Amino acid sequence: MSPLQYLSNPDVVSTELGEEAVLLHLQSQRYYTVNETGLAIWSLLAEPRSLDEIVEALAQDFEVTREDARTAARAFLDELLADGLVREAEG
Amino acid sequence: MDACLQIGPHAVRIEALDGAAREIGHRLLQYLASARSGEGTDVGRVELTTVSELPEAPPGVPVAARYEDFDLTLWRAGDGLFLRSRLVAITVAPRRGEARVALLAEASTSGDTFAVLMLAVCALLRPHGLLPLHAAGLVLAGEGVLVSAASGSGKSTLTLALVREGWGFLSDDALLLEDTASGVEALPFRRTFGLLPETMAWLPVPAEGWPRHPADGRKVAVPMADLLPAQAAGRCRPGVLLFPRIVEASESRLLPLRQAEALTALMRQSGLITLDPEWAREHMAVLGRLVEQARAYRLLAGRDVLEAPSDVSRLLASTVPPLASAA
Repeated sequence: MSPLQYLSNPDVVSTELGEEAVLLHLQSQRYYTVNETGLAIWSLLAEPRSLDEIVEALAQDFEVTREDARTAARAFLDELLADGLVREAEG
Repeated sequence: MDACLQIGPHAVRIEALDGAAREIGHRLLQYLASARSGEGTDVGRVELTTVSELPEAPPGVPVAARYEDFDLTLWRAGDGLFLRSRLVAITVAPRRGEARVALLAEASTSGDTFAVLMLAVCALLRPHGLLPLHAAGLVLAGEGVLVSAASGSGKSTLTLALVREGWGFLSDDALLLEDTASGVEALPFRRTFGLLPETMAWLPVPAEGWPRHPADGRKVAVPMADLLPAQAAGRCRPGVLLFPRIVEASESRLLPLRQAEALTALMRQSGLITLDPEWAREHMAVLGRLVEQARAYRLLAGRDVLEAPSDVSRLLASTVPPLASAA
């Protein structure tokens, strides 16, 4: 079975500012600020990505263990899903 | 009626097809105070007409967005836009430079009408790289300062206080941004200041006899650039962004803001622009470049804004690096 993948919602516009980014959900008109790690994950989600792919990228870019990367990525994805910033894509 | 709205190097023709529309067009030009004749590159026309019944949206075109505060709905078909509120319907073909405005008779007395009309003008200016921003624009020693805040936050009071201290100005409320090779620049969109009559004692004109501000009946619309031409600026490159908030204190204070905080604050003042996804995307990108080129501060505005504006002017001029080095 293909792993579940995630993709950013096209109803969200964003702008990077140094190591942060600001996201605007056009439907809810809510704003979000993400830090460096969140920005790295958000950038990956411009294409469909599985959690494993995100974990691998974080572990490499931030030189952290895969366990720590998985914890951070899972928590962030759950927030993005809860607020409709990200959706599950066909694997 | 055939008049010209001058916006920087551009000109938008206003054509009214009947008497009631002529009155609204005249008030729009008065409100923006940018009417000129024979100047500027013609970028389009706004045709105004009053109707007994507003046209419906084109069939089969999906709703793109809805803005509850203005009871405004946007339909988009490719480049074309159709906007409809309770009193106004506008069909815009930006690439052709055409905006057709249908108004019900009651529209002439509604403050929201002018916000929607300005949106139509913005739609014609957008293909020419101009984007609107709800903010005041000031200049000190060549350095641009933008003041952005929701109504009631002290923006107008602060702006007027600094103009009174000799600061240059673009507008007290409505600007256009242009992303140029040398950075984001600001131009005035609306030249009239909305003033409470009791705040006009220092001006060289009487407080009576000015037209009422269409969005705030307590205020009058005063063509400040005509009254203080030496302080009127045509354009600036903002190096400072101020976000005032009124506080219970005798003296004002400045708190630095992160770029992300400043961008969010500016976007929150973009209202109708975030109505359309394409506009929102472009607007956010330009505002992102603006916050990267400028320093942003929260101004906790104390009573000195009213009681000792020269102190506030000195605070800003001496504390904010771009202003301190420019002065």
